[in-house]
Amino acid sequence: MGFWNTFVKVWQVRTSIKIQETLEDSYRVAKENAETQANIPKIIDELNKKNESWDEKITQHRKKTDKK
Amino acid sequence: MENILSQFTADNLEIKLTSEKLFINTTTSNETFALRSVNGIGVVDLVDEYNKALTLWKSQKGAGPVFYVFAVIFVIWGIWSFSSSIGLAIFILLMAALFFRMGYVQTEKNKNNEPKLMSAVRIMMSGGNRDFQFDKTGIKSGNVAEFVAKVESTLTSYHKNNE
Repeated sequence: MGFWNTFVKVWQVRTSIKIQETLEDSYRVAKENAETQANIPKIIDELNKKNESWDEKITQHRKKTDKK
Repeated sequence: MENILSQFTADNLEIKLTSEKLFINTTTSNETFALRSVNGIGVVDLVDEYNKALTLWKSQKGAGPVFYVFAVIFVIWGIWSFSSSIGLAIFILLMAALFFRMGYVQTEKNKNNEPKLMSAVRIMMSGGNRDFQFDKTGIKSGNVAEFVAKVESTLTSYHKNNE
């Protein structure tokens, strides 16, 4: 096999690897986005639940500290 | 001796605040911060970690029903095998029982392992931030709220007095 043939083969392998990696990355990103979208209602619900009581507590303590 | 302004233990987190320093002990670290190096304090919800844990939990949640499906297939196969060999049929039905058991165990495990949204006390310093995890709905979260309020007021007075 001559130099030119080897060069073309190497280029083909490298390009196919790059294409494969790009496809895998796109799939991974799309999957992560879909999972995040599916989790958003649960996350918002959890944030509301936790922060409601927390806000009351911190406000109460801030008022107490400010009075002193 | 330094004047202790606040001290408590909550969720593997032990904190002591004096007029000059902040001592924070966790199960894996013992850290002391000079108040002069602290620029601010905040509380953040660790949403990214919760999102990852939720995704993992959801993916594991599917394992229970899969075991049940296998169990049903084995039951049908077992009943169908009675006409050819009783020994084989009993063996298959035992396998079905095993799959039912595995499905039940997996479902119960997932019910109890639902991830929780954790929060962190974030201490902002010139060199970077340090986060200390706690649960906002934990029994001692009131102590954390009190501590945050105290550090806020101590920092303000400390920086005012040292201007």
